[in-house]
Amino acid sequence: MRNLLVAATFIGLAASASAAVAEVYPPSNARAADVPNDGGGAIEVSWEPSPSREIAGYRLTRFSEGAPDGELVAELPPVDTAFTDDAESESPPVDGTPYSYEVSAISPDGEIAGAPRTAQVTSSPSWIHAGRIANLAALLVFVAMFFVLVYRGKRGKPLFIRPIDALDDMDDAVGRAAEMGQPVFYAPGLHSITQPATVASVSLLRRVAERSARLHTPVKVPNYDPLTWPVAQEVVRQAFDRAGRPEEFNPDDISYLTSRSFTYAAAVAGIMVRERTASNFLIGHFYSESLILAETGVSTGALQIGGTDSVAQLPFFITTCDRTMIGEELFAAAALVGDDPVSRSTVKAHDWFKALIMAMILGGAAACALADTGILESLLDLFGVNDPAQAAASVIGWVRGGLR
Amino acid sequence: MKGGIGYRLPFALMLVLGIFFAAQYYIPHPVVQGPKEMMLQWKQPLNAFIIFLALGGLVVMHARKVIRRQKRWGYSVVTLVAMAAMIFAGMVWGTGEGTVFSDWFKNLVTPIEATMFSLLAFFVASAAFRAFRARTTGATILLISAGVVMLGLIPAVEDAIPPLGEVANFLLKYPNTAAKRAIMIGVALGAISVALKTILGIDRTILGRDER
Amino acid sequence: MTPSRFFDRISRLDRRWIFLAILLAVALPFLTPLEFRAKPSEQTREFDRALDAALGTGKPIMVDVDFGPQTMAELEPLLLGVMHRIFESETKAIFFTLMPDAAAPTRQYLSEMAKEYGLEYGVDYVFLGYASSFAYTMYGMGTSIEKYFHEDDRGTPLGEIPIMKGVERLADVSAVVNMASNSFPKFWIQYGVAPFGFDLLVGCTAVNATDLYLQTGQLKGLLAGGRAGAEYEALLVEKGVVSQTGDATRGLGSQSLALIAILLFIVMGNAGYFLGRGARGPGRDERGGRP
Repeated sequence: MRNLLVAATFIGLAASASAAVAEVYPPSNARAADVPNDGGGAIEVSWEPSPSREIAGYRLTRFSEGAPDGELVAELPPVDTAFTDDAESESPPVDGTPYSYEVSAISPDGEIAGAPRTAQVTSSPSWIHAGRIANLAALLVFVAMFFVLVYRGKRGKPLFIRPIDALDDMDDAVGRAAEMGQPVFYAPGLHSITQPATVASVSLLRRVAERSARLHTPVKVPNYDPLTWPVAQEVVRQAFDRAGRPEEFNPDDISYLTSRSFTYAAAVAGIMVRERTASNFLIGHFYSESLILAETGVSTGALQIGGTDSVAQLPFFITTCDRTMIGEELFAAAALVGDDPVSRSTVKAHDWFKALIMAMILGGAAACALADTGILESLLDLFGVNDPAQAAASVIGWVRGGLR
Repeated sequence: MKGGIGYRLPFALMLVLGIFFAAQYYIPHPVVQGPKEMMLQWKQPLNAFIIFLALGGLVVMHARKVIRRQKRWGYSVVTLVAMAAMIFAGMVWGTGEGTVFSDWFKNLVTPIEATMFSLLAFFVASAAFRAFRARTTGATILLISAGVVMLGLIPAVEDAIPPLGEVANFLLKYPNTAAKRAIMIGVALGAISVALKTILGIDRTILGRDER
Repeated sequence: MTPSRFFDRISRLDRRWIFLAILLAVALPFLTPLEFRAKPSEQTREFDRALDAALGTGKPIMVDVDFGPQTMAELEPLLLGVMHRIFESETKAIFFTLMPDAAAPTRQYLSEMAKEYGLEYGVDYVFLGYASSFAYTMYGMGTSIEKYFHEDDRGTPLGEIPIMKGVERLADVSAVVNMASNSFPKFWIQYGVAPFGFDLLVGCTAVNATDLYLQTGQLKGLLAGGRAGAEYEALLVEKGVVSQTGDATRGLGSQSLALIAILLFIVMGNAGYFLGRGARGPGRDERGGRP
């Protein structure tokens, strides 16, 4: 009898042990939500993993009015805890249609344990990308500053803008070339006319070309970009027309060379050495060949005025050019060259916005420093804020997020 | 704005498309993203036409030099023959691995361009010799920091004097990066300003025009 | 010759002597048994950790090769190092380029790697070729890769390539590695990372080093210049991925000697400037003009 009891206990224990191995538990906390900031047609489903020791994977089933018995959306590996039901699915969700999802764990034996269905959710496209609102706000602030200053400029309000040395020296450089009886050289950079640095450069080319035309001095403009070339040609032609010297304009002086940077550098170096250009203008966006251009100009004894928005090439220009427009000065010079009040006032917008950025950086750094030393928390406590530690953390989080 | 539709149309297009492409960054809705995707794809075939413009310009310029026997017209013959040969080889035998085009590129273009790039080493030395003189306070600070960074980049020196490597890294990581950031912020604002002026028609440089 | 005249002449040394000195400094390490080794820096290890994290996700990795013959000496070791890491970890890789010059070298590198690791084209790796309008392509790939690369480099439609299954846009890969000799990494951040948010690792020339993006976390890893290439080669040897260092380490000697030569010339130039003032006269610079 006693042996029968022991045997029965062992059999019962073995049965329950094997049942525990075979039993599969469903995942928990399954939830579905419309994917934010997208064009619609996407729902994100997420869940906590199944507590079962071993599962073969998960099955995702979608329910809707058109599919009350459910349709299989995906079968996923056991490591996954989220899935986006979107255009990549066999039958993507339709905007405006309510769906609910069931996430089921599948055991190695094929047993299925489904979590409770998620609440119904509909996908919809977003009109505004919430993650880019700070960016949009910054852009709108700058645009507002721009328009306010253009309005003030049109009204004739005086604006202080510090002089840009390179702009003042441009006329002297052309004068030098005229005195020496040698041509002026102008490289508008290696970017297309669709890029801001080249647009700014071509604005400055207009001034150089006009001055050269008045002084009967040829201006050589070899181009890297085939789109910039006809624009540069037209600008120089107009400059000669305006100076009353259309017959002196030579279209071959404004040429297209090549769209390979070091080939361009080799060709330009050849032009500088052969033509003995007296004044070189290297203004625009350049790559690593900029030092070859500038150093060759130095070797021919030319006076050089450089300007680039390319941060990596600035050190080369500063060491080889007599005057350099650093970064933003290039755009400011292009705006100032026309000497009309509207363009001058747009330069001021940079200054106002930079002042705002500086104030935010200093303010943010101060707030973070106050937080790190505990002073911010003490201040908030002094003002009677509930839970000052939490409030301080929220302020710092807001500052860091806003600055980013 | 004076002038007929041919004059005003580019400005109208720039205004509409400029505002559209700025706005599309903030609006994920398919009503905006659909046309945007379509227009982005148009850019690629447009590039093919730009190549024809470049090719045409080069051929006309060099052919004119040859016909008129202008100075150094022989080099124009070389340019035209080389251009024709590469185009012919690429079109007839393809541009893949082992083709004539690929061999010419590997054995002619590559060494020539690598040689041009290596000129930079010599020019950096001569520029540094000429420019790094302690003429003013600013130039002296530049000279000292450049010297520290250069020494810190030499592995043997960095191993022998570890603090030098740390100072060099500090200079690169903080003052240098801060200055770069400041310049880039200014450049970005300048670029937005140029773009706004172009979109609004205040600056017509992009069309080769001057009148405001 | 008085000492001041001597130093004045030093300050106006003919550039050709400088060129000769640089030539010797660069050539000497190749002609002598001088060996220079780099120790992997923290930044290099950080790049490798970030690459490791990407390779461990199980998703394919994308590599954008944007350098041409001019900068091959500086960037080829970086790219080869990354390729060794990718293929040694048996991760699938999708290569492409936004610069026409880079297509031919990339094909060559891939064919060498395929032989070394026994890779199958289309399954273990694919080369999508060149797409123009880099900024538009970068921005467009965030929503659809196929619209900008309709076929691969061999003319096969993307839908027929096994490795491209499930890879519709940038979010479907583990990371993008950009090897660039130009400012493309900056554009990747503007048009790729900012709007779509994915991991970007960059290998670039020393002069274009974009450390500032590394500090802000917009880049996950950065290798800049020949020295970083030598450090990465040393790290790969340390990890047993490759058995010996390569061209970047070989070039380190030239780089070091050239830097020493430049420093010596700077010292000479300043000595000539200050000690040669007597010969020039008061208030005049080396060109005879006023500074």
